[in-house]
Amino acid sequence: MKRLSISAVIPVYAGKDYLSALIEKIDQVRKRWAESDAPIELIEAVFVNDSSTDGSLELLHSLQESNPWVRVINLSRNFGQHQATVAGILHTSGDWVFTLDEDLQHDPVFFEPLLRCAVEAGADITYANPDANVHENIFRDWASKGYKWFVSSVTGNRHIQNFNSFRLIRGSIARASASVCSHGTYFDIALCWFTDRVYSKTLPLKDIRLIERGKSGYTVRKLFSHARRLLISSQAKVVRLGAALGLMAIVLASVLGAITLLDKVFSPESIAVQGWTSLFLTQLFFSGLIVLLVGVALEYISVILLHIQGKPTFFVVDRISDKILTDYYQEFIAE
Amino acid sequence: MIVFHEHSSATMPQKIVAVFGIGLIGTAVCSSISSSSSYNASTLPFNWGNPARAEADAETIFGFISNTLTPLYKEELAVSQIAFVWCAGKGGFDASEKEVQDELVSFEIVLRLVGRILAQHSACRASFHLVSSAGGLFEDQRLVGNTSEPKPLRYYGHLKLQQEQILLNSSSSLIKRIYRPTSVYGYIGSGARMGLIPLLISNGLKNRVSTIFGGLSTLRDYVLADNIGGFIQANLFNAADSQEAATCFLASGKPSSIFEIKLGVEKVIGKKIYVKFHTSSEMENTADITIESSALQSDWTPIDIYSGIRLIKERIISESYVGIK
Repeated sequence: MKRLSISAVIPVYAGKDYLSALIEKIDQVRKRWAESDAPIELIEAVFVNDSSTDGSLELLHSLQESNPWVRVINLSRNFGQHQATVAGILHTSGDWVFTLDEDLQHDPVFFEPLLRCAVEAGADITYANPDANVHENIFRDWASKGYKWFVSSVTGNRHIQNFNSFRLIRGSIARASASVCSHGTYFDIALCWFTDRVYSKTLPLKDIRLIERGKSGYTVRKLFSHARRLLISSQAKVVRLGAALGLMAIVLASVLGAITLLDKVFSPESIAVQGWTSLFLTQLFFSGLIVLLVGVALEYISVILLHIQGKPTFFVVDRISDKILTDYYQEFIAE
Repeated sequence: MIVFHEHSSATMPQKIVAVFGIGLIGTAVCSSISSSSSYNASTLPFNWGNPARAEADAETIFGFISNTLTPLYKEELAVSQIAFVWCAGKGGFDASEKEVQDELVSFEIVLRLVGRILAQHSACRASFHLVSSAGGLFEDQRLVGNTSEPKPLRYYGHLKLQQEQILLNSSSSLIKRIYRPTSVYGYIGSGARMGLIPLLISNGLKNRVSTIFGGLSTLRDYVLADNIGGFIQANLFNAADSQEAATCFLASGKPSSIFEIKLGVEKVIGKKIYVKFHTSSEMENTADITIESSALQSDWTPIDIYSGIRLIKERIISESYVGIK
């Protein structure tokens, strides 16, 4: 029986207290799949140590000895969660790749529902969608939702509101997206360059570290950096709207200018204040022209930026092996 | 084939290295040997296609090596060491059954030659270094480790497995080292076989189309020929300390998709490259082959793929400037 291979990628930064429990939970899932003779095999869990200072690396190395499926990658400095995830993904070999945080807010027990959702929907990416406020902190939860809604609106990318670091990605797409990511690329935006088949699955997720200890893996500075990268990586369609407004202003100024000129020739007595209309129309025309030209220049910059960030011309994907899992889950339901 | 031999002295043991197969890996081994010590190199013919000629060539090589072993050794003032390196693979991954059989015959001729040298110079410490193939043995297997079972799918893979077994069953006084490199890349000049990466760089620089017999998502583990050459050279005589046969993987431990390689080449050469994907089943080479990093030896330290791509690009560019004033 052909088995689909699963990799898990876990960026680690100051998560020493959770690593043993996390590895144990992943191992339980791994063993359950093996014991139930499921056509799925968790072949590796890649832990990417993002220059932790709390002894996470030493602990990971010791845990690796008793769990040969655990792989440890040590980054040379603290690069951030997205870059650590990208590095981890580039070291995977699985048909599907899970990414999750190290602090147990993403329980490996949800691997199965995410996988099932992905193959049944024919998805390439499935995000875990928290069923309630994940941080139990009104400001943090609503700021996150509000910002995603804002970026989603100005960019026209409807998937942004689903973005979450607990995701399941088709292996080939995960590795291709990770390959194109430069330091300024938001990884989930890069994923959307490769596929439109993005789904989400509602799950009970809680940021235990923040709720219980009031500590988060993210500082305010990191959150702002995250938000900036999300906006920069997205193609802001609002730029096109600006250019269109500029063009409309030019057309309006031209039409009104022509009417004013005809008025001046055929009924000069109707113009009460001399010079005001022509000054207004000249300003409207040139303001429109400037806005249009800035819009065109921004569009050029946007194309160059996307090229630098690695947006692909095309990508080929093979989804045939999904049938193994859909058949398995159909049998599973029948039983 | 090339024989490297050192001048001997009463205190220092004489060292001889015989390298069979001067392709991508063979050249890397030879240049590493040349740069490591003051060897004299002698090129001798070895016919791969004709067994009768190969036997005659082996006789010549035997005579040459016997004559090269100095009187100091014969007086037992210093123990000579001789290393045989087999890095032949004329047919490559897509070798036909006939090519594979020819190579196996040549391999057996060389092993008989080694046996004769051992028999005649019993005080001499001899080691045999076989360059096998992780790709050939473990095609379509992911995260291959030290406990993985070889399951060759092609003639080439079966040949490598047979060669390993024949070597392991050979004389017990021969020190045996087996190296299993993954997807090897390097550049030894235009016209020679070079692997995917140099091909993409070379064609990219010349604005030519490269044909890829695989898919964008095909996963391989790429390793630079120079790293392999250096590692084998470093182990040529260190290996003499241990009589046990040893097998090691020569891989990076990091899988790379063809898509990642294509992007990496484009970044390094600074322009888009033209590729055509060949999907014919005859030439298909889409199976993933990746190696578990824990299967690698601690003293094996290959460079990362991006540094390798840069190195090859510089090499190709510098070659194209040779002769231009």
